[in-house]
Amino acid sequence: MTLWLYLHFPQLQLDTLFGDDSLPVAIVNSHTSKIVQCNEWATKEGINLGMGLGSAAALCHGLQVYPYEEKCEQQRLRDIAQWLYLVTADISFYQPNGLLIKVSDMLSLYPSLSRYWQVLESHLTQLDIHYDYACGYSPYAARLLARAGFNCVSDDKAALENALASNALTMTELGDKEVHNLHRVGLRLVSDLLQLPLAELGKRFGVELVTYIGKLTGQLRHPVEYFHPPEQFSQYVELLFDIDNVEWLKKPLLKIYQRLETFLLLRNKHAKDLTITLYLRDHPEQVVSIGAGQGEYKADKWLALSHLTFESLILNAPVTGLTVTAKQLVNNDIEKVDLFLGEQGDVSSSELVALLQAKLGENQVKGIKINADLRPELSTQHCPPLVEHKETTTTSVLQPSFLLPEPEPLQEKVSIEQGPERILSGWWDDKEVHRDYFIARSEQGRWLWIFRTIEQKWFVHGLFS
Amino acid sequence: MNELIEILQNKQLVWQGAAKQTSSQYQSTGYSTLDEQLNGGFPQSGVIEVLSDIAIGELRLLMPSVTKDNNRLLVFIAPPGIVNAHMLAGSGIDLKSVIVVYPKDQKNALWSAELCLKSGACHSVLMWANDRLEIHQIKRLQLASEKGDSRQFLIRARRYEDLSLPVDVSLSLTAETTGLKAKINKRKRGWPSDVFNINMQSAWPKLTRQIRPDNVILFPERKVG
Repeated sequence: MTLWLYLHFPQLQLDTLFGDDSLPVAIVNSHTSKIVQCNEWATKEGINLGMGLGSAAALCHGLQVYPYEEKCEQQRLRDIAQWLYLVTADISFYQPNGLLIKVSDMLSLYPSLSRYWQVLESHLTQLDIHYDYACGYSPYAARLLARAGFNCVSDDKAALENALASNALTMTELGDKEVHNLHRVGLRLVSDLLQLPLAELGKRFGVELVTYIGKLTGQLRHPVEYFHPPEQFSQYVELLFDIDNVEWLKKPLLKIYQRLETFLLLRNKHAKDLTITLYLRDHPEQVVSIGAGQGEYKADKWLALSHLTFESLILNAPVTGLTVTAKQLVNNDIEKVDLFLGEQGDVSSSELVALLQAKLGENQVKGIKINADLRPELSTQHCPPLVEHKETTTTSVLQPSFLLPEPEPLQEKVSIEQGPERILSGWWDDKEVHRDYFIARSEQGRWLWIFRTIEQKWFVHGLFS
Repeated sequence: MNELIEILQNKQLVWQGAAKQTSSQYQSTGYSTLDEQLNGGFPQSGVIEVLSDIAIGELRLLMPSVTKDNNRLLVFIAPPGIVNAHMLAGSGIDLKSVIVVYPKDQKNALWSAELCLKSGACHSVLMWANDRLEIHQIKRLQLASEKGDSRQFLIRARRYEDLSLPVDVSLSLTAETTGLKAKINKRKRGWPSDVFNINMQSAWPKLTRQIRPDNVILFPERKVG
């Protein structure tokens, strides 16, 4: 029979919240107004699960209350599954706060069950969340034991059955009505149910109960859908308090970046750009994207880049949560450095460009390339830096070092030294050029590139610096 | 007494005029007259201030110095126009290793320059700065250029400060028919110079005027225009 492991996260949303740990915090179901999760501080104040919001507030005036959000837990559960996928293969979701793991197949990779659990446990502790766990010979059995807080990993069938038998029927997956019916005939524990012949139970309580018992004992097949991790990184962090200072965003960001680093490192990938979505209070979300030319994986480098980008960021409203997404993952191409080139700096050229672009903006940092066009204003084009281009042949005619963004009317006395060079081009689009270019020297000794239009107007277009 | 001098020398508190700098710390500028005046060329790393009008040939003077190393980057910060790719390619610069930065203000310009200098990924940073500079800003650039083994060229129309800046070399350039008239205002480990001519006729024949002998009468050309 297959052995299953079930992980139950009793306070997943509470663990997902980012914030001060020294305050009593409770998560309240907004429909029933009952407390569904609370932290240690709240328990110390006498608050219990299932307590109404009114009595909880009466017990502790400083209680921080948050509404329960199933979506948040589901998202976190996906993150956990993704994280666990690194050490174990078959993971299935039990929404909103449980994971079912198939153990049997993994035991061929690990020497023993205890060793397997050790690896899994050390992996889980890095996430810093509370969890209950249990083994079972069927998914339902493992789930039942974990939710009951069995917290023991073993493959001892008798012990597991014993533990299972002593649980109350209210703990099972059965509906309230069915449990109520069973109570009426005096069945209160799982053991009571298992002792009865299945045929009789089926006759009295219907086939669904029989199917459930079959699945619980592992006699019936229980189909399970497994999780397949996506090949991109996306994580959400909910902030426990609103942040209106960009500087303070660094802490939660670093936390995500460290996860990103592990994510990328394990896949031997680099992220080219990150998208940070800031969820604002009463405002539409703000999206910031950060690029790193050739890709980067290190948390501190990403933090430095985001620090530079954030310098020019103005928050429209306080931030309540943020998501970091890395969509474009590239292979880890290690930059080749020539050993004989002498001393090299500690920042590579692509890192330098990424830093400059992060601070100044992408349009402020450019490379240049030659464009196959005769018109001077189109023959040099800006392009993304550090990109190799096919070198088109340059003109043998002397060209100025700087071109003015727009030709300026010639307003000084010059003497023509060279020329003319007629450029007549661009009849195919609306930027037609018909000019005679001359190299001229002004009276102050400046060398200018001037042109005369067909209307005999003179303009300065370039500087021979 | 000798011992004292030795101690002071070891602490680099005494500078002796006879002590010649090893030539490896200087790199030829590509113009022999300027090399001679600068004791071998521009320093390997440091801040070089060029006070010059735009378009009299100041970049042409620096061109041989900035084209030497094609493995590292050449950075233009706040150039006075669009850098012409044809001119750079014509001078033998690999366009892939050229980065042009258009900062919003001088603060950002200095920040970019410092980052580029200390990265070690750039060999030269050309910056056009037409605003006041502070002493500490130059100091920072200097330290950065030493760290990254790179050179900072500051091209400015004139000096905007009353105090002298701690640059390694300060050079004034004025236009001249055969090239440039230059004056070294200041340099480390050396004296300022008088005005001297830099002849650019062989390097840039089309951008200099040939001195015509008095006794030659030009054949009349068709008038242009």
